[in-house]
Amino acid sequence: MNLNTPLYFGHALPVDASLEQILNACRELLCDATFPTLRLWQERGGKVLGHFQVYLPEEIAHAAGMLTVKLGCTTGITGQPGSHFGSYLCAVVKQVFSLVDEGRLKPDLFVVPSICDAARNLPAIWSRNFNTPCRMLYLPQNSASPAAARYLQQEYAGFAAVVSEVTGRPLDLEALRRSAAVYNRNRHLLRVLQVLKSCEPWKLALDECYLLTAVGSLLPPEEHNHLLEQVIPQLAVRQCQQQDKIRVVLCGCFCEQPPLGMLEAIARSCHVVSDDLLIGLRWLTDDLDVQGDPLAALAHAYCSSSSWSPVQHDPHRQTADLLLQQVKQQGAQAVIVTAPKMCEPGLDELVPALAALTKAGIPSCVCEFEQGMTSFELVELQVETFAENILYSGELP
Amino acid sequence: MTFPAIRAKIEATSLLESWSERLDQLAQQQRTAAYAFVMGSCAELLAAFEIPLFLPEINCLQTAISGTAQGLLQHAEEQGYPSDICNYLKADVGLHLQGRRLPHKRLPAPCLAIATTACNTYIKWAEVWQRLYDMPLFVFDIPGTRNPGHPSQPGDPAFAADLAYMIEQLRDLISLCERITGRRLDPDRLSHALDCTNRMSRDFNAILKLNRQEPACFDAVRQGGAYLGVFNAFRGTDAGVRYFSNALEELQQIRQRCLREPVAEAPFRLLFAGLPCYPLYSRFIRMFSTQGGLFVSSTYLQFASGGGCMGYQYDTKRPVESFAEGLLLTTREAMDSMFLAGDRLFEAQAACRADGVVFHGVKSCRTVSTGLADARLALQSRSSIPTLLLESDMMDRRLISPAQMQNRIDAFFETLRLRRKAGAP
Repeated sequence: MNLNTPLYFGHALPVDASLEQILNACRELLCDATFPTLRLWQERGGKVLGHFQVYLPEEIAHAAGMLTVKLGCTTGITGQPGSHFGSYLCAVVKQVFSLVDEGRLKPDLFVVPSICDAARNLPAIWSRNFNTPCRMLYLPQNSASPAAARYLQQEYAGFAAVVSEVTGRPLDLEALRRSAAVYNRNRHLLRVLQVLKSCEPWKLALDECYLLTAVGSLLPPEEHNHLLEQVIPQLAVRQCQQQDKIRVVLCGCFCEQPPLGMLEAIARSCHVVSDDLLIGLRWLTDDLDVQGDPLAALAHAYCSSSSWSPVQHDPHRQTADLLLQQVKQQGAQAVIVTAPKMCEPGLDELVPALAALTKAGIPSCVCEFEQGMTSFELVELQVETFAENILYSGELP
Repeated sequence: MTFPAIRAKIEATSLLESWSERLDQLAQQQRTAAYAFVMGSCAELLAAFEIPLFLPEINCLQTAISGTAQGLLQHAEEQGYPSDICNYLKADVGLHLQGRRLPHKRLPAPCLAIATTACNTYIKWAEVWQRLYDMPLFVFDIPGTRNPGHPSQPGDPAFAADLAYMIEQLRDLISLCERITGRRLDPDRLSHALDCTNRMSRDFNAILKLNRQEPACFDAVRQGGAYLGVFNAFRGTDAGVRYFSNALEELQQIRQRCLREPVAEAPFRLLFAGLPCYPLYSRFIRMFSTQGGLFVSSTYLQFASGGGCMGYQYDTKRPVESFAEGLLLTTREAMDSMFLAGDRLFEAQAACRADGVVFHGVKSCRTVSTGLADARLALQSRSSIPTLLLESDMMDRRLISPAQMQNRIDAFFETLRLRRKAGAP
């Protein structure tokens, strides 16, 4: 079968679907533990690369004809990792292992960026339990070093070699340039979605934006682009009544994703105008140069024009300062800091982030979460109270 | 099974006390030190620049043993530090927030921090100091093994790429040290420091090999911890060389004595995987030793020495390049000994003729503990050797349940005794 025929948009979902139909279909796909798009891709003879959060240069796998899946984006799916892990580990590490262990997900290659101490253990655990190849990707932590971009280019070449072993297709620079163009388009469309959410947040709630973004982790980028190209004009003319909600920045979701129910609960009280949900999909902030050496361009972009998260040390940028900058740029009134349970990098940033916000006089609230949580009443009450306090504080004598 | 109080253990205590006193003096004189971590401390480079070295992990574990850690943890938690982060980091933050004062010593402020990527928490930890003191922070990015069990080797193009990155970073770090001290690197001083570490590492490696044979002549958790402390705090120094030379000589004598006068009942030879339980340090070891258990080997010595115990020898004729290569190889070895414990323990158990393996996972160190439960399952699938998995913490007493721990250890030894009685291999 042809791998170019649609997996989803135009297959399970009509190409002329309405906005509501698309949103419902996105929700179904993200909650489907059978991973229908990946299954269909593999049935057609395609290979799947599964990767851990936060960022991976998917272009390299795409150029070799692989479908990449960012693991840990699916919602409402928990697994039983049994006795393989202690109780003190984050849900996303356990979920990724369980999905494969239970046979629900069968990637042909697994890649783990070295984002945290728990993730760095995964390749060894993987190699002890599964036969499919696994590789660690060491993204530079000393990106200030003049040697970092050159090192990263070599690292990407090593990654490309593993992809080539799995697919049987050697690295084709022309194909990589074409893939870079496809991903440039994807990142552009995601940025448009973010701008829309910031400028007219009543037209695109937090959970809706998440659905439209997160399905990109389960689809070929071309198809995700088609979906976004269909949705964005519909959103632009969407008739929604403006609501009296506070404008907030949501942070702390760079790796483990809050469950959809929690995002819905937040959206009922707030206009989230900026967030770091699935930040890896929009990690590169500028278009890649598709004319020269694409591996060099990818490496250069990572070191010089990328987003930020607690898993990436940047000597020139403090995450707390960046958060304040984001609040200012977005005209936000407050910040919701999500704290994923057992996520060390995220929790380590909690104190400086809250201290900086307090010093700047920006209200904040901390919402603890776990991917597998199913009850959202407390979060909803917490956020609602927080929002009301800000909303009505101006009316106090 | 216990050994007489051996000289090296006493000397280690004395040396580590002198290290603490030196830090206290620096603090009193308002002088500063470089803060670094045991995995990739760059001690030899700092020694070449005569920049005093402070290792916060050693200080933290000392507070856990002495019982002062709990107050530090509580102080940090009161400032908002969450319960689910590394307790070394948290206790250290508590210490800084209360003015770097402990009951009997003070600590100097940092003039520089070096954090390698051997542990990602190192970076977050050093970022805390940077926020507190605004001193230079050098993140030394040391790539690890990409394909588990198949590290690149000198001569491979992939290794050459990593090494080139290491050398560039090392040159940057040298420039930074030159700016801080106001003087150029003296390659002879670096060569001397590397030569000292070569000799320490060679003897440390020989010490560890002694326990592979029967009879074992030291406990790898108790005495091993002392060797480790000296190795980290005194690497690159003449004092460190003397210590390891004497320790090796003493252990060889002990071994001869053990051969001449064998004990009535041979101890249960145990492997230890993970981190020690520092808040109950002696009691934890006694829970095993009183039942005839002896730790003949420990993964802790491998990773917490920054891979230094592997015996790597620097080429002192080309100190800068060799230092970079050694740092890459030894730190990578340290990382592999944490991540690949499950794969290596099978061979280690055979090499040491161990009777059982004890896994000790600690909540607050994901680097070491994430893979331990799975490593145990992997070992069980390949061997019938009894294993014991304990979970507690290396700093926080609230996470330790001694009675429950004792029950499980009792049951473990019951199995060991039954197997020995039945003549199990």
